[in-house]
Amino acid sequence: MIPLAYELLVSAALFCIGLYGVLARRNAIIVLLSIEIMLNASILNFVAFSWGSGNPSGQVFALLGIAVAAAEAAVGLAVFLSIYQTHGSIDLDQIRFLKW
Amino acid sequence: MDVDWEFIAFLVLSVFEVAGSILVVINKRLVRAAFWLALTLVTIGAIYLLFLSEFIFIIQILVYAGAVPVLVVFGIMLTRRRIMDEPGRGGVVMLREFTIVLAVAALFGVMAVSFLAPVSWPQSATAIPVYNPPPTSSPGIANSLFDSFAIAVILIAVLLGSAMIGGVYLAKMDEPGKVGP
Amino acid sequence: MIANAWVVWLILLLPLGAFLVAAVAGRRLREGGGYVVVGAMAGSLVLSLYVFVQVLMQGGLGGNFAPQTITGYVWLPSIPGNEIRISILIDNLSSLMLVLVSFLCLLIFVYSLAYMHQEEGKPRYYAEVSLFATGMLGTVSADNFLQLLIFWEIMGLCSYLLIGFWYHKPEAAAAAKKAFLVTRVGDVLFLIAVLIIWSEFGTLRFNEIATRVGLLSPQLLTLIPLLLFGGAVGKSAQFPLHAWLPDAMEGPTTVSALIHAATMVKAGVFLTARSFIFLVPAVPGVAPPFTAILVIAVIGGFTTLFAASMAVVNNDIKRVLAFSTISQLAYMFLGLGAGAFLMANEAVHGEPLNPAGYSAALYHLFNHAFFKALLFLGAGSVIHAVSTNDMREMGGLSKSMPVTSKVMLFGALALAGIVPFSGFFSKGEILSSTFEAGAGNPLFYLLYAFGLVTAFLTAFYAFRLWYLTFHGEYRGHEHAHESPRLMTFPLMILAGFALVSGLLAYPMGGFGNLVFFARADARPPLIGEPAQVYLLEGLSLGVALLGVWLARSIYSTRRIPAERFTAIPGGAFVQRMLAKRYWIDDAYDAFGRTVVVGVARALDWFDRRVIDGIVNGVGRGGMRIAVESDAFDRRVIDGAVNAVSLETIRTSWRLRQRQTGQVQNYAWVVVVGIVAVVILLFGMSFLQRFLGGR
Repeated sequence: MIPLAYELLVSAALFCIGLYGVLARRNAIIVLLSIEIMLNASILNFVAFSWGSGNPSGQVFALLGIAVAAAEAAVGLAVFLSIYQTHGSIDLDQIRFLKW
Repeated sequence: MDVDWEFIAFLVLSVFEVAGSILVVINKRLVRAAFWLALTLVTIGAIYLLFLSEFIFIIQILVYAGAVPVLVVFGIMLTRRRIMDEPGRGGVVMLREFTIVLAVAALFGVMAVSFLAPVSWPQSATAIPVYNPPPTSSPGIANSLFDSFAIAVILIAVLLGSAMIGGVYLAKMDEPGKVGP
Repeated sequence: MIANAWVVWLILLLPLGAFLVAAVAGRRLREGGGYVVVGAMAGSLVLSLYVFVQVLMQGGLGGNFAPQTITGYVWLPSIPGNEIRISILIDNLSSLMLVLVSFLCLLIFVYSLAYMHQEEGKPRYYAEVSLFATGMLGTVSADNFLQLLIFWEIMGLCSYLLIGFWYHKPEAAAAAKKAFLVTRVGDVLFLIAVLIIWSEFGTLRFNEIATRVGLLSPQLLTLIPLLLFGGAVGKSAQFPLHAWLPDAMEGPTTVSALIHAATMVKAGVFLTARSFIFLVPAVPGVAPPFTAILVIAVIGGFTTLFAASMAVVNNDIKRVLAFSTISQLAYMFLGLGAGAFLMANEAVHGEPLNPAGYSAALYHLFNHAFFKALLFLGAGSVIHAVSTNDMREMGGLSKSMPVTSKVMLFGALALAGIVPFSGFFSKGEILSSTFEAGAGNPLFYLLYAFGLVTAFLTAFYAFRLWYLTFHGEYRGHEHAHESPRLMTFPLMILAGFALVSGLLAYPMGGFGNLVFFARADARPPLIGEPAQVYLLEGLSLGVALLGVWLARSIYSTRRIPAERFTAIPGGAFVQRMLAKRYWIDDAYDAFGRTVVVGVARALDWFDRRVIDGIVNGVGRGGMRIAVESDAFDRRVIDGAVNAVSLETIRTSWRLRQRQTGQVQNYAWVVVVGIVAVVILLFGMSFLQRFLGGR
């Protein structure tokens, strides 16, 4: 029996670590990977609560979440690679296409 | 001695998990980060097993342990090498990282405190079947998925389709250095 | 009742029509429309005679003719029955005056045909004299005071226009202005009287007022006739409003004859005669205003001597006649005053009224019209021949102008009052009335003395004029000749009247019978009078002969040199004073220059400085406000608007900076926000738990 609280802590930790990666890293691919970590943290939460409460909806959402995350990772990678092809760099400090 | 092996397994796995993720976000080298990510994701899958969610475990391994890291690595490898290395930075003043660590730590602190509060979390620890033929009082995952969340499934399908199309569009380069057709 | 009374309107309308014809079409007509005017006047004369004869036959003699009013058109509307109308009053006085005026106008117009033949502006002349004739005829036939005033003013206008007929001459223009302004003073007094009469009686008609005289307080009863007399003083050039008449001689001689001798100046006497309804109230029990009567008599008596004295030293033939006119008019006023005095006394004592003085004055008016017109027209004839007015350049003209010389002699004799010429009778009656009045008030004895001295002076200056002009050697340079027939013919007619008009009264039982105002005694003059009357008449005749003799000695036979008078100590001063007309003209002039011009200057200064200053100030203030508003608008309001827009732009610029394009910045902001919110929420719940519940 795993107390749910510890699991929540773990997922919180994972989330925060992923958040750090999103904010602090300049390489776009690393940021992508950090986003994957964050998503996984939340999906872990879903599964834990589903196990805890016996409600299958949690696992359903986990499934859907994994699907979304995978799609997003693929598309994100494609975008970043395109940017790299056209601009020669994926340093987020220098990618300012949405600047005013 | 009645050791709670599940708990110990959980602890070990979570250590691996956290360490792996830290290593992902810290790493200076792209490919290594990708591999650490793979480790982290697999570990998370193992935790799913501990949580009696075999179905999700399988999906996790299929997608996250198989597809995503491979995708990332292939993407990195098939482009020029320079993408792999993150340009170094004068590490004298890292105010930015420090502030972010502070914020993140604050967030974690708050969440930790709230999670460790003496609140009764649900702790039934039941295994949820994948499928239970209707009518049933305990629907399985598939029941729920295709019954209550059918629209979500359709939308996911649309999402995946458009992602694929988008990916193809972005990858196509009629002229070198230009995006799309 | 007059048969065919409507013809009376024609008497007025014929000259009015002639005025319009001459004014509009005169340039295209022969003689500038003169023949039309003469013809209209002839028509008026015929109709006036028609009316007069009817009046006589219906009991005009002895005052048995009941005055008839021919009601006319409404002039000022009011309550029905109380409107002011232009109506004609036919009574003894008005019918007589109509005949007199139309006859004289006709003669003078005929004379003008020749006299004005060479002049420019003939249509203007004939139009103006015809309008004048309308005015005079309207004045004497008026039925109420307002109508009288209206036609009075018409005459004043024509007098102004005709005096200034030769408007290129500055003296003529100035004289016309002076005439108009001086008579204006009198006219204002007349107008005030009319207003007071209207407010007191509610009517202006002579007949109606006569019966209601009792309504007035004694002060008003004195004031109204004095105001009316004020108007008469102006129009008839009595002291102190006499200054205009000598200067009015700047106009053509026919104008002087017509307006300033024969007719217009008589209007003042006529008005005073009409105001007898106030002076001798017909209503028993009302005290007559003796103060007003005395004022009239005194002014008359004083002016007669005053004017005659100035005629003695004047060298301009027309001006001598002008002063003479003033003096003779004053005689008429003296007569009216004395007559009113006598009648007022008789009314107070309940005796039957004897209109001796009144009828004497009107008798003199009648006679004077003829011989003064004669004298003026004769002077015109002389001037026409020698082209100068100055008697010092004439002389000996009796040879070259025999007809003119003889008719002028007739006129001089009539003026001097030598029997059997007309002036003798009328002047004598005035003087005897004055003497009679002396019994009631000794002041009249003094006035009688004035009148007597004036008779002496009148004879003197009349013959001085005649001798200087027609006797001796010709002192001028022109070639004198007798005037054309058109001029001499009216002269001869007038000379005839000068002789007989006095005697005309006899068949009619005295002039007093002709002029109404209560029953007059049917006495022919000078027959069967008490001895005192003969004595007085003889005295005035003797005085006149004395004057003639003196003139003859100085100017004809040269027995007494003229310089003898100026050699007397003070004689030269007297000569200068008379020549300067007692410096009254200079006094008026100085008054005008200092007071009037001073007031005008003050008002002009006020207007320019104060009022214009205010207006300009307002203008400048307005401009100031505009400038300030503009500055305010530009700086403050535009500034505000500009500032708002600038701030908006700056704010948007600053906000824009937030969009760095760096995704991590956006994520960072989101995280900070979430952290803050979470801390807040959890912090509050923690606080609640740790401080509250436990």
